Amino acid sequence: MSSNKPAVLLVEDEEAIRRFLRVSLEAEGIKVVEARDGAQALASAQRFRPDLYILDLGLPDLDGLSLISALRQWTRNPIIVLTARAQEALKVKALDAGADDYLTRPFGIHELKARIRVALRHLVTLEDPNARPIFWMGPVKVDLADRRIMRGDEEIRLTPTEFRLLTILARHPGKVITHGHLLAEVWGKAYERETHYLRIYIKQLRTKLEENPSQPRQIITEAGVGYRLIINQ
Amino acid sequence: MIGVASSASWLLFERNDLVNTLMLFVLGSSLCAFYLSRRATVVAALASIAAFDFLFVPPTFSFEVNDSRYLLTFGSLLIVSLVIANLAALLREQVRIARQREGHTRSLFELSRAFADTHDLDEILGALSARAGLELGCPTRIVRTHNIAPGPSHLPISGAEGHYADQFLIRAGGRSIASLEVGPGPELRRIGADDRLLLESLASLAGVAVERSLLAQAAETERRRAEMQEVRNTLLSSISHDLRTPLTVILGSATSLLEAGGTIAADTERQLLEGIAGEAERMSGILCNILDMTWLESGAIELNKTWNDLEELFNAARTSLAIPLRLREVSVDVATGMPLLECDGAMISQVIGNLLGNALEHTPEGTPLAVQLGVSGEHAFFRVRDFGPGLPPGKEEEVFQKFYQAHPEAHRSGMGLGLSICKTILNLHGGEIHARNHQPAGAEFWFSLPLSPHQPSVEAS
Repeated sequence: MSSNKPAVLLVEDEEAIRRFLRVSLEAEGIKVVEARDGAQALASAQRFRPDLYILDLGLPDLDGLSLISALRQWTRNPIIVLTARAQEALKVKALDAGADDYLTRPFGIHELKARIRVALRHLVTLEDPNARPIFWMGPVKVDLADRRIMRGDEEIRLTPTEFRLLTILARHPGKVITHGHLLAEVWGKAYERETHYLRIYIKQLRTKLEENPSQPRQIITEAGVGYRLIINQ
Repeated sequence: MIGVASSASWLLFERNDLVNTLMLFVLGSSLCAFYLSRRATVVAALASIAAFDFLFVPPTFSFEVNDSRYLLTFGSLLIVSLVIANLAALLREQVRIARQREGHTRSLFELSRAFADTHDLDEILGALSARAGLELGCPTRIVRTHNIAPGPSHLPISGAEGHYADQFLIRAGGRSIASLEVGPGPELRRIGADDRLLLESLASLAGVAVERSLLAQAAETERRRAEMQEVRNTLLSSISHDLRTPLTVILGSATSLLEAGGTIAADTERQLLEGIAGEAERMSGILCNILDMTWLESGAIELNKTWNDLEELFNAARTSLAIPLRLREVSVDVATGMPLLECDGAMISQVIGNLLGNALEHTPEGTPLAVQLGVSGEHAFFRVRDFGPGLPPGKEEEVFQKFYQAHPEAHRSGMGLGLSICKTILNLHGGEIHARNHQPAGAEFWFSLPLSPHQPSVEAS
């Protein structure tokens, strides 16, 4: 990107939706490039190198999942997909294919803007190799490199598994990590379907890290899909 | 028998007591008639005549007869024996037929009892084939001649391959739908006329059962169709009412804004815009419910069952309702050591969200909510109590019916589908959902989910 304005490639076949998204996003200072279908999307992606992709999963020519895979061949920039309701399985597939986030239609523009902000911030950390892996979760400071987690002066001790789980979640803050992905990364491929491990260890993590474990603000459950780590900015 | 009669007569009677001796021989021949075949009886009768002549008729120990009247005696003895033999044979035949009939009747009875339990076509035909095989000791199979229901057209049930000599058609609804094929048994047993009669009866009984099952299926289909038609009618009238109102607001507001073209007061403009946004959101809620209901009832649902923590699902639903919940005091009581549940996390989370949303919508702002999670017997349960006006007495369970609205005149969001979606989801999970009023005041909703017999094991790490 030449200018400082972040650019978004908007892949959506409904013109009315493209129009209102363009108006809303441009008001936020975001440059919007539009594509009507998968072929246009791939061409525009090569030409404009956008910072962020917003994909409608139901495209006329190409199935959304293939488009995600095609984009992931050469870009690591965030992809947000727009899905229909009650399609948890499709959301999981999209996330596993490389999407960063999803929004369920109909969505509010505030929600979309919030997701775009999270994704663009994530892009900055992606691009900055010197960024120290230190972040805050509410009043809790996490230093992944030193393996040190502090609440004020008090150190919070995590078991190796808890720490590994937190590391995987922290790799992509704000992004939904699917159950299968977390299980495979922390326990191994053979554990991909053993969701009870996650329930138990996420509960332990919340007890140690959340201010109020029964109303979690840092480790968010996406029922039927996965978990999302929210860190302070 | 003749030997016994001769010896007994020899020992018991005087040589000249011929009358008693003769009676003993008649008794012997009669007994022979009852137990032996007709031909053997004739031979026995001739033999007893010979023995009587040889041993007792003077001159004894010779077949010669002095008195020609004895020839008459011999003739009578022979005729009596034959008559008795005939009567006995007739009786035996009748006993045999009665036994066979009883066997057939029992066989038909057993088969009809097997049919009574099922409406499944394959099971009916399978039971027929098995019963026929059992009765005859032959390999049997069913060949479908007319495909009236989905299934393989050729369906071997017992004794798959080989030579099947006889065919018996199974007719239902005026056409033959399958045939029962019977092959010669291992001992190459011939299928006789009686067997044939039995098999025909069995096959026609199966035909009746198939016809009954087809009629039952047709009735069920018709019932469902009528039910769907009713749902569709209600849906249409609800949609036309519930969607028209917000659409009217949106269309009217948007047109006003377009036509006013900037001459409108800022706060009026804002009111119109808020109206548009609010009504669109309401429409979106209604549409989501309609879609969910349609999807849940499509029969194509595959539950994504994983291990879930009910408390976590409640917390997730609570977080997503954080904004409307911020003015409410929510007390939460979770039993210690709640087990994990095997369920579709997204769906159960939606149920909890619907119940919380329902409580929020139907109670005055500021009233508290009480949530309880626990285990009761083989079930885990979730309960939410509100302290609002409660449910109409006596109609507590009606709230789960589709399109039920407590206050139809009120302008509300869900079109009466939210709770019936919950019920459908719980049904899919083998769980239950109920509603009632509690003391002193307010409504209480609770659902329960079956616990898995075993908790998953976790290797410590």
